[in-house]
Amino acid sequence: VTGGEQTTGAWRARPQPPESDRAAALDAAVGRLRDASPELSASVVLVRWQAAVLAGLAFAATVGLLLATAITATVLAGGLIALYVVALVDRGSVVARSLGQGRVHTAPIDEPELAARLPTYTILVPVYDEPEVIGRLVSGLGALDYPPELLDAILLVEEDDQRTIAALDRLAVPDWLRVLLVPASEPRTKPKACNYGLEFAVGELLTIYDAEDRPEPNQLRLAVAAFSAEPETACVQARLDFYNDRQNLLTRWFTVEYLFWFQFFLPGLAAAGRPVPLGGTSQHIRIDALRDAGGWDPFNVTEDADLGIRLARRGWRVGVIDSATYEEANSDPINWVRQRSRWYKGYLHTWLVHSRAPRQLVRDLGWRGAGSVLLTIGATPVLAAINQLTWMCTLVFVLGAPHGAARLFPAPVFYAGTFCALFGNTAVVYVVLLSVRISRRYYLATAALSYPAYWLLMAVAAIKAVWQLWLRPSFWEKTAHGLTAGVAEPPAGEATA
Amino acid sequence: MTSAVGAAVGRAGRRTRVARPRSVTGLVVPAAAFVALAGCYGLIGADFAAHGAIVGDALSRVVDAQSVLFGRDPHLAAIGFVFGPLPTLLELPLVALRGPLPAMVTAGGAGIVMSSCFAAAAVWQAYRFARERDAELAWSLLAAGGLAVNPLFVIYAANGMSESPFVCVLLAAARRLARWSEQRRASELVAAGCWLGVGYLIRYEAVIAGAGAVVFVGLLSSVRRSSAWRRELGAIATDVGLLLGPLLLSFAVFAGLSWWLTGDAMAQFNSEYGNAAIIAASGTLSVPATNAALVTHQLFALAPAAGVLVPLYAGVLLGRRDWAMAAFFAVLGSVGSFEILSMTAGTTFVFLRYLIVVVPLVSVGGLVLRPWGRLGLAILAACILTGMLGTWRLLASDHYAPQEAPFMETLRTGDPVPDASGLTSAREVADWLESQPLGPRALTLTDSVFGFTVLSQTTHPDRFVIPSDRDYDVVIDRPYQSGVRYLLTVPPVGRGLLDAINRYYPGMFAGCVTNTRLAMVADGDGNPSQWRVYELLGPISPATARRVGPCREARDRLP
Repeated sequence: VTGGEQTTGAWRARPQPPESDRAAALDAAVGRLRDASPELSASVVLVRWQAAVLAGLAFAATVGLLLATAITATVLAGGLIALYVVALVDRGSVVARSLGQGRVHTAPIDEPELAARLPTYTILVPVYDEPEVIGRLVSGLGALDYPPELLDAILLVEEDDQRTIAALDRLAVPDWLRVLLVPASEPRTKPKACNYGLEFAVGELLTIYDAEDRPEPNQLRLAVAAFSAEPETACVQARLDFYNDRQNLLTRWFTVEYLFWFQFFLPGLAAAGRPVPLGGTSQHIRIDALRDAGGWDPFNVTEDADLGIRLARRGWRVGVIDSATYEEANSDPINWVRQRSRWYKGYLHTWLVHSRAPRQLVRDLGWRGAGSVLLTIGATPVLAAINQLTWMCTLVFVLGAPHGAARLFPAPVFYAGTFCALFGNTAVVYVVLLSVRISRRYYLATAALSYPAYWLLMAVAAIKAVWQLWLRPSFWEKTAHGLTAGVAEPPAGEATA
Repeated sequence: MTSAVGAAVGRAGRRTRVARPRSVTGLVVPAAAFVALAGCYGLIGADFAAHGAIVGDALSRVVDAQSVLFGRDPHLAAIGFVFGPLPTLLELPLVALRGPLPAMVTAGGAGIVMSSCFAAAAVWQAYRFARERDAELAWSLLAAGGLAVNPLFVIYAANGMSESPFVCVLLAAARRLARWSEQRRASELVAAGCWLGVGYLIRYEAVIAGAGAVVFVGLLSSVRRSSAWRRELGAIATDVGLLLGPLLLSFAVFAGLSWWLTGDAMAQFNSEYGNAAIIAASGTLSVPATNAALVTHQLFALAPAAGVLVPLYAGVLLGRRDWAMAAFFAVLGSVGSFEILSMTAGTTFVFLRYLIVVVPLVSVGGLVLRPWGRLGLAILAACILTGMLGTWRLLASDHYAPQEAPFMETLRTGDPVPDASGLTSAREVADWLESQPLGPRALTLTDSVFGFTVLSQTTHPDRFVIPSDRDYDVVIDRPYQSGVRYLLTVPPVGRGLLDAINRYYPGMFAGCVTNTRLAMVADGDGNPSQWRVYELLGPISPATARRVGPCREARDRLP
């Protein structure tokens, strides 16, 4: 134990659960969902028929391109453009819905009787190899306005994560925070750690924060109010935002993207009663609903999106609350691509998992819900990956007008493609600008207008994601945190740049 | 899979979704009023058409739509880039009914349906605008009614032109902008912007309305400034971006497609079919002083009290700081002012129809007088009434309302009007071509400056080669080799100078090109409807023209 300031290593005073409990909890964390509903577990990427269909399609496309190039190219282009048109119209309808009646809970809670009945709240904080942000954790979560005796805050640290443990030893850990050491095992993912924490959670409601998160103080109370107003809601998602939004152009783009996603898109989905892909943190869940759904999928690298769909399939609703959690936006392009490719990989994986039994999916969610899963989860990485390709084709087509290219596009395909290229791209920039206006953060306007350049990065990440899903489906590409040195607020721990 | 608890809860969740609190009457009454009004306009339009009162531009749009669907080279770009494309696009499904309902094309019926629906929608927008300003029923009905029954508005509601859709879209944009001035919700600004974007697809003057709206947004934000200037400027810039975004998109798309397909980004201004060329060719560019007198006369006939109204409305507007009404004037007033100025300066024709926004400016704009109670209502009613009487008288004048007088004649007397568009001779030509023994494989080469009238009367539009055909350049260069057997020509005077055949084969009309034979002449009532059909006997080229006698002179006169 290295020497610290006051109560060094105080967290060690509280013993870890008995070894037998730990082993049982670890088994549950890894195997609960896989054993109970293997068809919903991401431990396998493709089931047999999916592999067969994909291989068949790839084979047919290859043979087609070799033997009947023009027709195959036309069919492929037509299919992609059709997907674009549907996704575009669908997103437009979600945004319109959101503008009309965004389903966001804003009611502040000060009624004494509700305050008297506040439930116990479990907060899970999984960390892995991030000693530099551990110091910020206490100041960030300590600001939450909730009775300390009703808080069950659990810091989840991997047993063999010596650097983080060493950082913890130097820290004065407050009483309301207990530290659980997660036994070292594969898969080494955030959802597995969370599942482990879930086994020891005592709260009625539960939420997850990252170590560097700064939730708005009213968030837990707002969530309680939302849950008591709507008994059929299993989960409410808080708005994610960034405190280093002004750091550079990348963080501005990222912020603008989040403004759109959390202010428009998720509220619109919630209002339409469609499955909501949850954000990585600040999702507030009824713990019994979470356990009923089987917890998180430890093999899925976007367990949050997956959980949102699983909750919807069990008939629960997901809402959105108007409270922000400030995170650190990725300010480094390489790091950003790593993080984004993990998300895209997870989205694709999630969609593949849920489309294993299409008829069951339709039975659970209805045609619209199932279509929504395809368009919000499956199509997002696919469209991001082919965006550049379609742009390039458009440019070549307009400027070069290659001989015979026109014949590849029969009139309906051509008009739909033109519609996407002209209207789609502009509409996205426009809606992003609208998010900037509504949030009154005008300094982001230039980021909104230059947004198409951000798509280049997205495309790189999406292509990487597809590649990685093939090779390392459950590999958790860690995002480096603590890159904000000197921005907004000086971190409590030592920051590495 | 679904647990019992989960399922039960899920169903409960679905039950909690409530239907919109809108009564049946709230839907049925407006719908019925809309159908009735559009039906009235449509019937009047049918009456016009039956009496031969058909405007060339309206018919030309219908013919464009026909070329898209039934032409020799059916493709969407045949919609043309001279007029705003939206009315033509909306006419497509109606023109598709040409088989069972030939009048949809031959009498311009598709245009009439289009304009009467838009006119009814415009009246509805005016009514809603008034209601949303908390105006009492009497005020709202007067404001909307003053628009609905004004003779100028009725004529353009019923004749298939783009005036009524444009007024409708301007009113919709103004209504959203007014709502924005009250609620400051960005979504209202977005809606206003979208309407302006739609407006550009009807008439390019939407740009002016956009400029007016931008000034309004800047002004309102500056006056109601709630934060530091730096921040407020950011807000204004973003607001302006949201407002102009759709307009810019419309502009860019239309100009881009126009450039890509015709090689000219600004065809509505520059091409030989655009206004500038027509003005130059027809030589009707008047002296500004005369124009000013003409415009002033028209203006004071539409709104005899204009001299009092303008200062009155402006005074009340400023005194009351009525921002919602200011939004209305920013959108429609800017367009009105622009039309008056450009007509006076002689940069466009002095057409009464360009002043149509004056009608809603008087009747809906009169809502500014609401604080004056019954006196205001009486003043507005008087203004509307005198305006209607003035309009009625003005419309009968060939001098002040040359385009509208035929319609007025029909309305007043019920007599057929003289064939101003030359449809009689066009029908003659179309019938003659169809009766020729060469059959479907013989193509007719024409230009659409005048040729659209013949195209509107033919049952075989696919036998005509028109400028929007993608191989027009090839065909006009080697017509005989391309299967053309007839050349449809017009006299090379006035707008006829712009005719593609006259330009490519100078002297064609006079019969100065070898290997051609004058096969048919259709002399209409007026000069522009004089057609000559030349039969091609063999390959022709501009170089094979005869150069003797009168042909030499004919060639020298040509540009």
